[in-house]
Amino acid sequence: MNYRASRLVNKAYLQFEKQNYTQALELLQQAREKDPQSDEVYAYLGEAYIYNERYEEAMQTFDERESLKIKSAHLDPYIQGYRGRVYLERGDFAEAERLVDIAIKSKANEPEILITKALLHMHRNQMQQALQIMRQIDFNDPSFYYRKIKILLKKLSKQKNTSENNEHES
Amino acid sequence: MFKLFMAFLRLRIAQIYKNPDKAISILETSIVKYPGYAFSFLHLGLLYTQKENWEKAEYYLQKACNLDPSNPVFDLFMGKVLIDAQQYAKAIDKLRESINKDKHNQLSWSYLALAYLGEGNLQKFEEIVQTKPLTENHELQIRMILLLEQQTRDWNSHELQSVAISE
Repeated sequence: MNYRASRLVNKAYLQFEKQNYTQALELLQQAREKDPQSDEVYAYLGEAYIYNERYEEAMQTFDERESLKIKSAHLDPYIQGYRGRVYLERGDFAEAERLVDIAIKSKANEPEILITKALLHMHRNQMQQALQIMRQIDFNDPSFYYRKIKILLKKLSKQKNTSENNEHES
Repeated sequence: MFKLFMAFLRLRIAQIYKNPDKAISILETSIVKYPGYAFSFLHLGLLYTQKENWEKAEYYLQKACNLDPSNPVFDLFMGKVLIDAQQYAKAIDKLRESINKDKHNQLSWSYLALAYLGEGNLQKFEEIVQTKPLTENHELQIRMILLLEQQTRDWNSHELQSVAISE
């Protein structure tokens, strides 16, 4: 990764920590412009799309990374895990499980990958297994739970308002 | 002597918690010998929860509640287990019982909020959260994330789960 892209990636990382996922995404989009041959930038950009719940764009970004001539393998398990998340959102649970399992086996224990696995358990009505997976997140990212709750509550109240508005209009 | 035995037993349970079958067998022997000790029933209920045997979990937790009806802790645990079993209406009743016995137990209020969330009653959930902020308990936060994820998704998961439980 070149210097300019690297600076933008560092700034994006700071935004990630502050849960400013939109700003993080914008910075990583700029980083890609500065270094369109960096496989790392594509990986982080794809991750940022996941955090912004723009799943199809994440997949497209990971596909673009695949077409690069030089790639380092150490990020591959994470990308498999994030691809798994996209498949979960598409409703392809078998493929989601396959990819997430590869990621977890390779110790790509990012919170969003682990939560994808937990959600797959939830979908199969395996609550205890889901809880067990969720407990692992704490070791990697102690503030994850708090952040995630905040985001989900926001999302739920937005969904609620939209459905109420739709009811009013109809 | 009895107290010493029970202390030893609890220590043993903690040690072998990773082998729930063994712990269950020890406790099932213990409740025959000491049928009045509510905590043995509580542990048994929790062990069956690990195995997702909700019927037995509920049975033993109810026994614990009956043995010590003035203790709100047993109702709280029962409520927590009923949330895991996605039996939210029953969980609400149990957690209300726990709160009636101890209005200041923050954890009971937090789990009650969760039970309402699981039921899809966002209004009640918000009412509780506004007056009684959720505790920093990680177990509770984990359940909250899973229930929130469930609420934001269209999986028809409630139907799937209620079928699974009744089986």
